[in-house]
Amino acid sequence: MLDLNHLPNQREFEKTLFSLRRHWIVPVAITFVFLILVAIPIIFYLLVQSTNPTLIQGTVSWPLFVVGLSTYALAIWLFYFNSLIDYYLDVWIVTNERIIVIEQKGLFSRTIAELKLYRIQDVKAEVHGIIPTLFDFGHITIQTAAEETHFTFKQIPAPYKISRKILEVVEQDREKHLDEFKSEQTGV
Amino acid sequence: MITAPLYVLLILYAIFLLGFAFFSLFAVYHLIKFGFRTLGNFLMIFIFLGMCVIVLFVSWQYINQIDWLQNVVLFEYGNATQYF
Repeated sequence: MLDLNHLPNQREFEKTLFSLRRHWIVPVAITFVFLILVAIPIIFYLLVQSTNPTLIQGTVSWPLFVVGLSTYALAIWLFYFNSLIDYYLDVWIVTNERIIVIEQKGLFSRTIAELKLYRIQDVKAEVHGIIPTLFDFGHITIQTAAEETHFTFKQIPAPYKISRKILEVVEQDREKHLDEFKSEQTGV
Repeated sequence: MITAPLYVLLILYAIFLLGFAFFSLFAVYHLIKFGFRTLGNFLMIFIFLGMCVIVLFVSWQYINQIDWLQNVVLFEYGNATQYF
């Protein structure tokens, strides 16, 4: 398990400043979809009960209904849980040295990247659409001098505020690593 | 007349349960290995497994009441002749 106070390859003087997850509206939307899926068999059952109650009381229809409902319930529960895991395991950890980007894509794909703060060149915050504007969330794109130049973290809450915060931390770290930064810029 | 035992349905259900168990264990493994050491993480695992146990227990209660050994008529020749 990951501990915010004991990160992998943590340096002595390195400390976690903050961690970022996607906006809370994401799990709320997932829960909303889940509740709709839960409501479907309930509505179906009530409809059958009010129109033709014998429909699901036959020797075949009743076992089919029981097994089908159980399968459906387990399937949507697993779908809901996996969607929440996807949300929960996508995280950006900002320390005073680096940003650790952890992205979970489904159950079988996971990416972990590290960005050294002093190598960050540009931080861009974007908010597009009515709902993102109303709930104040959007994308943050970080451009670095490294091989993989772009990192985008989607649906971040308060993206403008967070991008300013990241830039502040980058400036502070760049002062600490001034010599390293200059030699990288000049290529000497 | 073509008939099939009702437990065929139960076999299909068992196959689904195997797949469900595989994906569930993998999801829990993800949370244990990559999740944060927080109460929320443990709570998520507990709620997920708890809900699975409840659904499976309730399902078992209903499944247990059904006679799965009875044969079901899938196709009856007598009824088919009306189409010819």
